[in-house]
Amino acid sequence: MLTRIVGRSLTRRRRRKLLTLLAVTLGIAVTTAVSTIALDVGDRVGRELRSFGANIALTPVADSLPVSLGGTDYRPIGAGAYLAESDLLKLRKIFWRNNIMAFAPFLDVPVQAQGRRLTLVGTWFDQDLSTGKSEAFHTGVKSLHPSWKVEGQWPTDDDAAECLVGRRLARSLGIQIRSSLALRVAPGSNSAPQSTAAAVLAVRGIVETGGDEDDQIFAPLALAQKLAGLEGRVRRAEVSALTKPEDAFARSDVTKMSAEEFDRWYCTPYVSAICYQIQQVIPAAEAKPIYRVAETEGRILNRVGALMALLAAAAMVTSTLAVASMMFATVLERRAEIGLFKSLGATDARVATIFLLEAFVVGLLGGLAGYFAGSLMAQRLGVVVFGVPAQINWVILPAALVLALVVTLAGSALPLARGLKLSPVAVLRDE
Amino acid sequence: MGSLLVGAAVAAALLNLYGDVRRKMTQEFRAYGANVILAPAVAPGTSPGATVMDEQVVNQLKSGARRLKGLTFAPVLHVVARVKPVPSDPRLPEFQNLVAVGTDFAALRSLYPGWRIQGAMGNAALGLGECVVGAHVATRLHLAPGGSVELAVAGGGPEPISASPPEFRVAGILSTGGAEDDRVFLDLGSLQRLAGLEGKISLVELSLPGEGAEIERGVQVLARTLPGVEVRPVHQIVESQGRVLETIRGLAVSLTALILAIIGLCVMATMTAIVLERRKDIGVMKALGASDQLVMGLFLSEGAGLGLAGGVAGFALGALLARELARRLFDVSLGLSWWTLPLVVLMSVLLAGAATLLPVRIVRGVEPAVVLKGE
Repeated sequence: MLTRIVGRSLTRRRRRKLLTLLAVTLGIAVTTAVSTIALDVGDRVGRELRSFGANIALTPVADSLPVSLGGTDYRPIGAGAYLAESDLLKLRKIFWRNNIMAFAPFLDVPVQAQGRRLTLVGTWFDQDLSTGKSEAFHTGVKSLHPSWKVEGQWPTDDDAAECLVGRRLARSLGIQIRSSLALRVAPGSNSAPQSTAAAVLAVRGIVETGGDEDDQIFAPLALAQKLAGLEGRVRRAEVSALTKPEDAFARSDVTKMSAEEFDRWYCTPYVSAICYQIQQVIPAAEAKPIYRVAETEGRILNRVGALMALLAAAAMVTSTLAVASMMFATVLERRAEIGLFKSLGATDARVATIFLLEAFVVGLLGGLAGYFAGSLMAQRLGVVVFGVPAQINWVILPAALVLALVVTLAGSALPLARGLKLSPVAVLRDE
Repeated sequence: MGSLLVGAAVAAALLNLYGDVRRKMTQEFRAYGANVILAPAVAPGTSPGATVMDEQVVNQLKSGARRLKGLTFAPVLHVVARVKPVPSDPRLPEFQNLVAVGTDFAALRSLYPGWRIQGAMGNAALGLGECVVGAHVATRLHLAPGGSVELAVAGGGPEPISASPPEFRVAGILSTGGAEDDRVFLDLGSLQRLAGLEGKISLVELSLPGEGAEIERGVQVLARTLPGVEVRPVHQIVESQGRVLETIRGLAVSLTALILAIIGLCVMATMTAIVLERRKDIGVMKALGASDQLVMGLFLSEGAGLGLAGGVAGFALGALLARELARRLFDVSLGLSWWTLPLVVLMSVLLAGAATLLPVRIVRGVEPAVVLKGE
């Protein structure tokens, strides 16, 4: 009997019921969309922030101090220590390897061109590191520093005689794209076997960054290594990694952590933990966070997170309110029905069961539909704002359902209690 | 009414917060460091690394700083120097060639708040006989805060430098993860005297406040007022900042729009309830000869009135909420921005009016005879 009443009630006045369902769906959809975006935003903004460049620097442990001024290293080639180029591939083997967005090695070679002492920087531009079975991975300065402005083309990574020239240097040397630049390794480089190594490079592009790079020459790493007689060696490397903002726990002393704390620290993508893991796989390197980037990034991420939490809370409150008031209105409208039920001898409990069961069904359906509509909305929104659809989050589904049920039930319970209090005679005659 | 109040409160809180959060975010971005570098203009054929310019630029900047509000800058002089720990340690290399940086260290610190300094110097400026050494230099030369170094400027060639180079006390050890780890920082005046470059600097690191377009404008102003100086924006910082702020703005706007849509829905439901509840009044009015338009106008103005009241109350509540949130989440103290009051009230009235448009159509369907008869 009960199920029949509820079933009939749900199927009879379809338009009204659909409207209620729509309201619940919309409210839950907005809540779902906002929470999905809010959960996703840290990752997304983190990726955007990576355009500030590397946040971890790798240098050889036993290096001597570089004496570099305005982009020119005044150290002779042989001085100091080097990292092995092959070691860098191990960066793809650390625990948080998927958080490593890009990295590039650098080898500075002092050269002479047009009678001036300059620095040639050997690096990867867009090196293909894809290993057969795993997905493709390209890395190099192109992805490490997306904000570098290159006029012309990027050179290729094989040891072709090509280069990029910094904007300021190009102006002072009078170099243009497609002209060629003759240079030879600066004398006094005792370790280079043929100290007169020379090359003529084709200028493929002009690079402008606003930093020291504007005074440097960039060439493929292999070429720089051959020129300097340092095959397979690099001076330093820069890594761009997605990290979690450091909190008080991340700043605590690693050596004093208990085993459990250490595990937690190790398995969180703090910049310090990633540095630690890099040093584990490449013991010859010292990995250090570039503080101004790492710390600023952390603070910005915290702020954005707070802003998102705020918006999500606001959306939740308003949509809850909207759904509740909709339910309130629909139940209020049906006071006459309540009176009729009661005059036919139904107990208050019975009437309440009927109405709440209806609300339950509406809430369940609306919650489900709202979750899917909201996820779709979040994806669209993600494309608009970030250019990538937001990640669908299944954790939100039970939360959305519970919220939908609580809101619809609470929204109907209040006017129901009011309706039950009225005497059926008054209600039926009045209306 | 309740929903309108909450809606207006949320909108007011967000509007109030928005400007300040933006400002706070731009402030956070400034922690990335200098976004503009002033360097001597390069004439073709000169070596760009070794050029210096006149210190006068700094004075010009100081007078210009009044116009460009919130401008911070630090003059920097780079010189290759030779550093030796005192007392000398036989296990170590006798001296170390490195880059010495003469600067206003306190100003440089405020440009880069992310730098970590070990040693009890706080934010104080560097004294005359003091220096700060980079972390790599410190490990290499086994220096600790409180130790001393001898510093001499390598004058171009291999000839011995002045007989007794001055000593500097290590006031702190700087750790940045960047090139600064390999350098020594001194007071600008001391290094100028040592290097014989009185009144000269290599470059000025500058942080202009604001977002992309503002910075571009600032760069143009600087380029005009400082002839003979190359003003170059650091693209990495200026552009990335613009992109990230754009993303955040897009997000905030679209989410706020969603919230407003939901509030509209909420008001609509409330107004429907109100109209339905008063079907009998409508019947009486219509029976007495009121036109549909008149009755609808009545409800619309009621909706707008509710919007007005809700807007004003919501503004008060929202402003309070924003103040509390700003203090807790963003640690900024927020002044009341009165300009948001008319905006919030207007929005609330419009929203209430628009949301009433649909429910008032019920008025048309009310048959006075049916309603008044009791069924």
